Amino acid sequence: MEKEKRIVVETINLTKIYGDGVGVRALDGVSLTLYAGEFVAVMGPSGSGKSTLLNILGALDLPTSGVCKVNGQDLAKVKDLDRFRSKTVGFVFQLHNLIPTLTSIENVEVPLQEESMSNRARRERAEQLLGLVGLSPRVHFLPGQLSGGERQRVAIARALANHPAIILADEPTGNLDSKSTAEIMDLLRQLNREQGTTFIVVTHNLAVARAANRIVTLRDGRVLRDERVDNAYLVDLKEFKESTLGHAILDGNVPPELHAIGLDKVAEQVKAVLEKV
Amino acid sequence: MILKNLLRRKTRTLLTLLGIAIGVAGVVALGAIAEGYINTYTTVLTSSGADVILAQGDAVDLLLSAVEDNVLPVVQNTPGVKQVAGILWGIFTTEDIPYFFVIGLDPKEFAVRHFRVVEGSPIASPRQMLMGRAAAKALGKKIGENFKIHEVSYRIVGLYETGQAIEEMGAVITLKEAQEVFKKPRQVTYYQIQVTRPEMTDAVIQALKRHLPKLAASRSANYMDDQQTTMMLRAMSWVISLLALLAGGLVMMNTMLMSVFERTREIGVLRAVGWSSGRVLRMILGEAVALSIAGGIVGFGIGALLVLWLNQIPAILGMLENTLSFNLFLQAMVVALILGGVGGAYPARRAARLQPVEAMRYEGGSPSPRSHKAQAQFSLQLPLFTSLSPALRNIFRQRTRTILTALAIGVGVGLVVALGGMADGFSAQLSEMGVKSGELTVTEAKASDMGLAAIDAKIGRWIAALPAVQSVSGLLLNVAQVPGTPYFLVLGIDPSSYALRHFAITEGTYIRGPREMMLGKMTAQNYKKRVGNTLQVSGVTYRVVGIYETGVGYEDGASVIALSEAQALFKKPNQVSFYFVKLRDPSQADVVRQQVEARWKQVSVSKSTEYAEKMNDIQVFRTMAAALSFLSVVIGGVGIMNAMLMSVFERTREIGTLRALGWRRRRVIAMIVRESLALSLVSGLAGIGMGVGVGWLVTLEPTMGVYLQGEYSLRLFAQAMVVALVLGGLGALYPAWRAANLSPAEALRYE
Ligand SMILES: Nc1ncnc2c1ncn2[C@@H]1O[C@H](COP(=O)(O)OP(=O)(O)O)[C@@H](O)[C@H]1O
Ligand SMILES: [Mg+2]
Repeated sequence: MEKEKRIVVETINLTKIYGDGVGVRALDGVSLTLYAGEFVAVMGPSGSGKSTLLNILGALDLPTSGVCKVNGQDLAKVKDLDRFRSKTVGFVFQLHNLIPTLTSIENVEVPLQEESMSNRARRERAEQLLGLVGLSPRVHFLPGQLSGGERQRVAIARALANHPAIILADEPTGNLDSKSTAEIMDLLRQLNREQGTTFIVVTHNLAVARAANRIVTLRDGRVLRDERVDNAYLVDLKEFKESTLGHAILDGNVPPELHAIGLDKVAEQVKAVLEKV
Repeated sequence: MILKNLLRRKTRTLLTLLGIAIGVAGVVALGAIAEGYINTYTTVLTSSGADVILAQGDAVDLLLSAVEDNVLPVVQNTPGVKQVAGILWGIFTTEDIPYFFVIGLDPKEFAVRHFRVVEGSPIASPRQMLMGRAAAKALGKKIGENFKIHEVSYRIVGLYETGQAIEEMGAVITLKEAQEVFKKPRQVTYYQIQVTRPEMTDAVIQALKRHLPKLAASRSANYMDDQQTTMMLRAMSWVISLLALLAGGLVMMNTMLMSVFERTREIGVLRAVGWSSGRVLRMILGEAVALSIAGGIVGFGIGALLVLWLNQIPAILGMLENTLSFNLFLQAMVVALILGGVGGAYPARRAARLQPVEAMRYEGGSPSPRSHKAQAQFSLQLPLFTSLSPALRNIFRQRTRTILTALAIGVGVGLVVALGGMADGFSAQLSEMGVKSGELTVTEAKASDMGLAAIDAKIGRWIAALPAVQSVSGLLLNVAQVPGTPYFLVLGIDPSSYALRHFAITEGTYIRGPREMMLGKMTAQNYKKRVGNTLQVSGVTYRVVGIYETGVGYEDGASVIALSEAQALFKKPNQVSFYFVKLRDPSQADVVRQQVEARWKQVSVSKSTEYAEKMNDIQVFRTMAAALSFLSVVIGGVGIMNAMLMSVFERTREIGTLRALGWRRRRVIAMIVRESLALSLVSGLAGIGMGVGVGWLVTLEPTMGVYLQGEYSLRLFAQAMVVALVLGGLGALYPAWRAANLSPAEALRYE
């Protein structure tokens, strides 16, 4: 079934070195193929190259070497990167990055401004998008008057404005509390399901990753793991595996304090399960 | 640390430095000009060896003073007086030298020794001349050759040096011959007096003042300090410097404020790690002062270069030599320090008062949602705010900066408006009488300024005899002194002339004969005089016979006496300042003009509507206005560029976002330029307001005000707006370019 799916992103040996010569290898030979309709979570410790990858996919930055194709276009050959950015990708940032002097609807109109459409059509499209993210009553509010979650909703509506093939979100919930985070993730998932929009979401938050159907983990600029997640609980298991206790069980030394609740008795079985995750 | 902080924003630091430097340069140049003028005359007066100077009490300029030689016996008989020497200064224009000074001296008296003969011999007989070394060089004259002054030929017998450019650019002839050639019989410019013993000086001055109350006696070193001109010059130089500094100070404050804003978090951290608010205050103030000191040094350099360059101009007469003193440098530095202190004080205070916790949470220029008070305030203004165009919203967002920038540009635009308005008003006022009195106006061709302009009456008679001419009205314009005011403008007009009708009588009658005077409405009010009262002008008593009103400011602030009376009063026998020529047939204007100019080389004829613009005074004023406007406009340009650059810096992320969303460079540039234009539009309006305001304040000045009534035309306002918009456009170029070339990825990482 996946064979039939259209390829949206294809990178081959993508490398990005900052500074000259012995500079930082932010990306070190990343090869990835992402399909239309996928919801991909990119994880990994800070400094592992997540933002760099997203910037290159969004044509904000150029790779040092390697090929990057988005929506069938080789970015090295795209002449008009501005147009590419406005038509093919949509961005959602960690900090909402809304223009503070513009109202919600005006912010959503920003990417539509390079389009040849009437002011009225622009306004209607923006209204429709704000409706989609559930912000109809906040259309004429300035960012300063919105909550963090609401601002991210505006940013998401803005990212959707030009029917992009792919939405790139760099820690979109990084600045939100857990309740808003859950709401935003529900919205992204819903958009993914109902509109078929492809998402690449960078996150530290496993709860966020749970929304994804594929998790790419980077470390030191390389792809450490790339796995499909069919079962959301699997993510919880992963989380457990990465925890202190998870490591202890894998190492075969269950803390004596937990003997009282009998963990030592099932330690071997749990270890076997975790090793499969 | 201070230096590092300043170097963080090199462009901005540089721009601010430039703004201050230009202001300081203005102070230096203007200060040097004022001091140069005063020093030159003071040196001329003291180096002659005279202890006391006796001059006309109400002379506008030392060289325009006139003293009758019948006071000589009184002076000679004053106890303590050793020697007296009269000197007559005449000015005329040659092809190569705009101001050529002819000094009339008695070759037997002590004062002539000041002109040290370095080549040739002293004057021994009539028709001989000593020429200044510099003048001889400029004219290419040698000993033995002849030189003509007003058709009279003199043989150059010697060359002299005095060390004073103004004297060396001239020639010395005998006093008698000078009186003849300049038509000032029995008259000197001033007397130079030597006393028997230095202690006698004050006694001599007191005695002279008692015996000759109409004249002014002062120590030669102090003469200039007592002069109205000196005060005017100094005051003017201060006012203009103040304006330039105001603009510079505003730019300074803007920069420091910006610096504080963008380092809010940093300052929060400093406070959190234990810095006291005093320490933060000192840091910001230190940066401001360092910046202003650098600006002061650069400014002094620019000013000094300007002065050196100006000194090369012939019309400056080398007056600016030796004006670049250490004192002036200190003055410049003090001014710069004040600038730094004042410009840095408010930002430093803001920085010191930041709450550490709030400061560390600060997110940049956006209206912070965290402060409830700000939020509430903001919501209140919301409908208004969102009704503005995005460009105006950004300008509104940075209110403090907008106000500061608008003021800085406003000062420049305001100066353009105020000075332009004054020049237009002055020009219109001057033209008024001419236009009413005849189609053509005759002026002296090479008159350096109006007070000096003199046309011989025989030319007037010749013109009147032309068949196409209906009537000729002569006008002698002069300032006199009336107790209590330094300037009292007197117009000498023949009672029978056509021009007198221009003065509409509201009370009493026209002047008909001697010792009669008409007062302008304003004059009558100022001096509380009515028809029938008397008024003393330069020692002569006149009876007020009428009050007139013309609606022209300077005329209503003047007085009118008969032309012959004025000629006697101001010792200008047979001379007028202008002739107004009324024609039988206006279409003959060009023909008459050519006729007059062909016959009389020394006069120039213009259409009455145009002559004011041709006047040297107006031209000098306009040039000065243009220079000043340019100065302040440059400061304004620096200010707006600075403001826009700051705006681009602090919105780096915002611009990165716009680019990430697909905005093209063009659109980013257009956005910045639009904002800059909006800013300059606001500033231009503020400037027009300030200019008209200042212009109006000036007219309130009791003595000079009436002459400076501005005329504000739509054209002038349009001109000011164009200046502002051009400033906005130019000031935006670099910031817009910077904004467009930000790399989106970098911009988004920017903190
Ligand atoms: N513009 C840049 N200049 C220099 N180094 C950079 C730049 N951007 C990122 N890096 C470096 O590249 C590495 C990867 O950064 P990034 O992609 O931002 O990581 P992540 O988003 O996973 O935290 C880090 O070591 C970072 O310091
Ligand atoms: Mg990152």
